[in-house]
Amino acid sequence: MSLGQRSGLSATLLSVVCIGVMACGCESNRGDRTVLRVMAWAGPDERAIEQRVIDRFLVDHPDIEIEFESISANYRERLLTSIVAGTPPDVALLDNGSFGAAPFISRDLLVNVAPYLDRIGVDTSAYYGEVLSIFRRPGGLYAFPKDFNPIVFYLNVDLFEEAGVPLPDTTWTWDDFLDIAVKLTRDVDGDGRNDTFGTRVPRNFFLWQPWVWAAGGDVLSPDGLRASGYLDSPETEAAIQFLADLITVHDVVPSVDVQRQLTGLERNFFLTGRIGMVTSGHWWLPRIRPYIDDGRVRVAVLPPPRYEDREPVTVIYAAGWAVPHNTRHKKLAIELAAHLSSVEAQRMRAEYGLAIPSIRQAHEEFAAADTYGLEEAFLFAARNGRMSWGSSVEDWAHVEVQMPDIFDRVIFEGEPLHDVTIEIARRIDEILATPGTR
Amino acid sequence: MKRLRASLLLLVALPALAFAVAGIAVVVSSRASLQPVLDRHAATRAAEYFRYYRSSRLAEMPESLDRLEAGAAELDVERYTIYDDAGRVTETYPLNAPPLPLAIDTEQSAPMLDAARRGHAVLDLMAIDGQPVWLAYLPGNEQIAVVLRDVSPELAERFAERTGYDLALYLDASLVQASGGSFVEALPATLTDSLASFDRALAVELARAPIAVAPIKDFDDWDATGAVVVRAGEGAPLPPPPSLPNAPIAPMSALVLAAAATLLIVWRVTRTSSTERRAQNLRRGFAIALAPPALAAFWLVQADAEMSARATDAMIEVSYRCITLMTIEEPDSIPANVAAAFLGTDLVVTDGPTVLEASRPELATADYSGLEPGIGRANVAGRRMAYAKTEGGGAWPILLTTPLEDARKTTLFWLAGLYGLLAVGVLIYASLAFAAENAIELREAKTAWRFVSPSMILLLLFSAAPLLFAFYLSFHRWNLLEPAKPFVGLDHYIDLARDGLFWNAAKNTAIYSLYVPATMVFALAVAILLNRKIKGVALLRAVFFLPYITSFVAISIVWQWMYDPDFGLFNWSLGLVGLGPFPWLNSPSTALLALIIMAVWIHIGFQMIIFLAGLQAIPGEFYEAAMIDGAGPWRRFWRITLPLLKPTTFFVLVTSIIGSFQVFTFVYVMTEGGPLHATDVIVYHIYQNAWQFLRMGYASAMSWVLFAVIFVITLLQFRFLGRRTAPS
Repeated sequence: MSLGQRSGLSATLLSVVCIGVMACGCESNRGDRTVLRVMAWAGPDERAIEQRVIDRFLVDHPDIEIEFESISANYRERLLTSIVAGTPPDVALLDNGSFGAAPFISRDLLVNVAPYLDRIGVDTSAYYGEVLSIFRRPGGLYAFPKDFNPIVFYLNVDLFEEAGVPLPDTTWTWDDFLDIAVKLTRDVDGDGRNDTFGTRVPRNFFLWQPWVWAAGGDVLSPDGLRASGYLDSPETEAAIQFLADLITVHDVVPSVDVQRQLTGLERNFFLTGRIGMVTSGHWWLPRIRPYIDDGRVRVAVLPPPRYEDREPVTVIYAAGWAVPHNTRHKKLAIELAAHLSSVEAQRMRAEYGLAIPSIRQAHEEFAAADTYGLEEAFLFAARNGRMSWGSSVEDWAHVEVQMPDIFDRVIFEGEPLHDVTIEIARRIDEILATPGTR
Repeated sequence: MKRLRASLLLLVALPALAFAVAGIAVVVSSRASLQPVLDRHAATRAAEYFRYYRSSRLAEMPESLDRLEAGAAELDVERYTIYDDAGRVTETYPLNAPPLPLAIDTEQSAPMLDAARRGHAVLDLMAIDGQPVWLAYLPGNEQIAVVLRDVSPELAERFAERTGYDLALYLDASLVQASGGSFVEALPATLTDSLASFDRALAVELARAPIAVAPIKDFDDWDATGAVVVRAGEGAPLPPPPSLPNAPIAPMSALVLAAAATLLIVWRVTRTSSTERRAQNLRRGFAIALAPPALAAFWLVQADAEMSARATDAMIEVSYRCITLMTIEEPDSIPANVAAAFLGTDLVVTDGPTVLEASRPELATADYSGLEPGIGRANVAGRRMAYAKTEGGGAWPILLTTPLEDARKTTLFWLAGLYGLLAVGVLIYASLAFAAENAIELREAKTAWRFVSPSMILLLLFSAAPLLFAFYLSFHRWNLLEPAKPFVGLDHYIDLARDGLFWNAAKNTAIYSLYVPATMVFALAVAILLNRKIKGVALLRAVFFLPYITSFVAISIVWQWMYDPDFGLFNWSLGLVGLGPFPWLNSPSTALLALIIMAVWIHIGFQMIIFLAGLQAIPGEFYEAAMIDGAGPWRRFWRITLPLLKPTTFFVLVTSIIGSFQVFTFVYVMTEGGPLHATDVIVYHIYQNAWQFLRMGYASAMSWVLFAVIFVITLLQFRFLGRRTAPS
């Protein structure tokens, strides 16, 4: 047999083997040791912290191994396919935003950990109630809250001083906000173009949700089943109109700022003194602390301004550790998930500070030790935070992407706001009425 | 001729052999895997039965302690002791009996005591001094009662009697009770260990007998405290036949037939002298030789599905028999979802045409009146399901489950599909190899195909198979989170035709692809400039190529900043010469253009490299001759360079257009399709529907439309440009 024939033979044999393997669908044996897999989205810094938290768990469980899979891109895709393929992680991180837990909970894809809380010694009253409620359903708890982020306002103190504008306090109102934004928008070098701006208007809905609530409106009905009558209500429109006017009437934002995904650009503009007031979450802090330490910028944080005499309100995004229903190690997985959200773990993460500990005690300890004077606003925001719609509405991802259209059509096409909200509300009604029909 | 004969034998016999081996593997594996599936199902039912038994016993316990004495005899309570909260004995039963210890020294009782102190009544089976006893803790008026009961002897017997499966109950690995048959006295430690960490039933061999074992959990389902072992007894529902004697015959006969066909071909081909006739004979011969395995494939699918169907029937039968284990006086007295968990199937309770209870909301609205009594298959709520139903009036449950054969059919469908593709590959190989003009060409062709074959196989597995799956999905609805994939026919394609956003994305994609001709002009110019022997040319080429090999995400972020209308580099630079400011990405009218400009910049390097290769393949003599004839540089370009570059140009055009239709990263990172859907492109639209909205079927339909569009465009390019570019 020639060499060529042998290679032909081996190729064919390879295909036989492939087909054979597929036919068997054999499960790989990973040896005698129990291996738990934890899946989370985490950057390099967070990964190091999570590894420390996991190492602590391994001290009490020397017989097992834990693989921490930090996935920075396409997290949702990876998690979904791993669950569907029957190889779920034992513990997975979910939230009420892009990686929403709601569809998983409503389809019984997560273990209800409520019956085991006493066994693992978890006292749910230690958590912020609103944060816990994101993963709660009648008779069930489907994740241990990891941490959360209320949306707040970052103020560039240097810019305020340069413009001679006094810093507002937590009682500030929408009128104050507009007044300040106008004053901060200035042509510094006299070339006829503005160099500094009051604020930026985010296209991402999650950043403008607090405005809608503050005005007393909402985007969906309380049962989350329709948008008509809510998205197009006068209160909701008042908030959208206020934001649109910042662009089209008052001209206090950089150009027509329909920003895209958050890529750190807005943070740079804020830090370099181009924009005075920016909405964001706690996740900014690890990146801006070095600037504050170097004396390059002074920063203040405030909760969102109040609308007339209403209570201040903001939106909360939280992540939690959940156990997929088809894990092969339910007990260990629940213990690990609980450990990952324990006070100890929360303290370790708080030092880095991407988000706020979901356990009140850990947050208060951290706030007390805060030398930047910024945590007070977060404590305030945490008390006045409401969970986002993504916590309870299964199709929220589909609903949320409709929102930027409102801005685009009002700002670019100049369409009357009410016409737009009525039409988008109808479109959302259709999406909510036919979940998963395609 | 000898070598040709050997090759022919190899070519025809191997695919048939491959299929025969795979077919036998399938049949053997299905025989080996279906019985354990059934046994594990029974073991899980046994564990559920234990749980159910425990909770129903607990429910019989009196709510308050003062009723305990009155009901003690009736409840079959053997002894009890009531303690106050401080742990002092306040009452014993029978009177004067020694008190039962409050904190029985096991790890298990401490959590039970805790639960009782928090106000929950709990009951569990545990071993005290090696004796199995039921132990209950009943809270009330700051008192705690410890109640000892006999182990119900009928537990295993009842299960065996109803299901036909012998059952043994183990506590801490020691046998507590068993229904006849011989079970081992103690479970091996390896088994209990794996049960403790592995949260489901296992099918294993114990004392050389195939059994299934499932963990039983303590009172709050936390720790594994024991196990149930089941073994199919005389009265067990008919499992799949232990062997399927006819099954291997199909691939075997296919093999024999294929071998016979091979001999026939070899005989005819080797006798033919004309190459053309030889090729023709070969093709015909292959068609004959490959048919028997294909028929066998079909037969196997059927045989395997039949076996899986029997296993499904047996499983649902076991579940159905388990209904009577639940002490149901009224069938709808137990919540449907609880009963469904107990039985391991879905469950609806109907009374005539009325659905009284359903384990899942979508099952409550379906119509069950047409179901024939017995075990069968029916379409329920848009899904094909196996059901079990009995005759008789009044309310009675119907069980529903996903038939195993459907999943097996899918697997075998793919297997057959892959075989088909393999066969086609072999056919192409053979026709090309043997249609060769002479021996050298033949050898070259054969060698070439052998080199290609490993990547062909990879391509088939990882490209063709997903492609086919997407095609299948495009006619089904699937949200990824549920196994159900109801058939929707052409609905997705019809929706697509009406989806304005899709057509907008298609339009944007088409406009975006205009970057290709623009880039080609620049790339050719750069290639010509860099196609000389000047100092630093290698560096310059690298510089131009750099963007193409840089991460597209990184590029997107940097360009996003450069494009910023107020603080970006572009508007700043243009401002220096008095131009702008332009909104770039921030306006629906310019956003797509901004993406095109960026795409041109990125792709120049790649196209330049291809053009350079093309330029260097043009012999220098042509230019020399032209120069002697007095042709200037412009004329040389039009008359020599451009015509001779045609194959290269064609390659660049075709591959770049295909690439342009698949644009995704920039849109995903920079604009998310906005503003006002101005940069929404097809692949981004597909991504959104698949992964954000979980509409896999719809996204698959879009993918196939995109595929068709690209295919047609590429075909047109080949038709109108390809012919003229074939190198002469």
